[in-house]
Amino acid sequence: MTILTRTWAILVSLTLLSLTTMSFATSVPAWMVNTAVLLAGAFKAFQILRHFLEVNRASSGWRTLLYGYLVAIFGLLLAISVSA
Amino acid sequence: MTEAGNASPRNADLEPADWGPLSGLPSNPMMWLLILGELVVCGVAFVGFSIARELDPVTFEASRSQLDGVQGGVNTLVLITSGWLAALSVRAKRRGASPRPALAASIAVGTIFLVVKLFEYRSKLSAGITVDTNDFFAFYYLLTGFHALHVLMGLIVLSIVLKWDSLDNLETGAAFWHMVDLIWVVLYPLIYLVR
Repeated sequence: MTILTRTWAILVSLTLLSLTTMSFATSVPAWMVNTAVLLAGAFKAFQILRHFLEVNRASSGWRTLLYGYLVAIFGLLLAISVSA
Repeated sequence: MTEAGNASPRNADLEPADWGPLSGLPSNPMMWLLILGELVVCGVAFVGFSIARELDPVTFEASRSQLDGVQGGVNTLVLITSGWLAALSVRAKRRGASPRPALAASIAVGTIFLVVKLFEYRSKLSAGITVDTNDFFAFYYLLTGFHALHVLMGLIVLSIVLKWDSLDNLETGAAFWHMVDLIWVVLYPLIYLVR
């Protein structure tokens, strides 16, 4: 399996996992659901950035900046949703 | 004009442009300028949406529960698959094969996103839910509508690349399409799933 196809399979699996999580959404605390779906989203965004947008081929400075931006955005979204 | 006289300007044309720090990015630097700008704008909008939800959690949760998370999930699978096919088309070109079958499939699959989105908007509008309903739906229409316009633009770009399929065009068009994909994988959980 090539990297591109493996990345696609990971993205599909995580999306299906997020959809499954929704069906349990009423029986578990909101912060757990929010954390799970946001972390899944963050990992999917990282995979797209790294393998589809080929940031793994970028210079180390750009890699740090782009991955750091992703961590900052998802960190903020997670902090805001969990603090409620 | 002599052959020697032509050599200098032609060689100058062939030299790669110096993009400064942007040279460290893969594919077309101008496309990356657009991608970086879009990521900043969308990041600010997403954080703004999250803050607005914390200011009025009851309205936002009641409104969110009216969205069809499965429909959003299907559209996520559609965009992910379309992005994968676009990436395969770039890889095919690099290997000397035709990129067109994968790129045409990417466009066809990507079109499904807009069809699903149109059904979703029609369902909401027929239920009387508009951009004026409340803050949640103002964000919903603004963010998903802004994204859907990018999907439409991406499909146009990929269709142009299908006709003129140089490696540079393919990489540039695919980069735009992956950005659209990237924004959606953040937008989808944030609006459709987070409570």
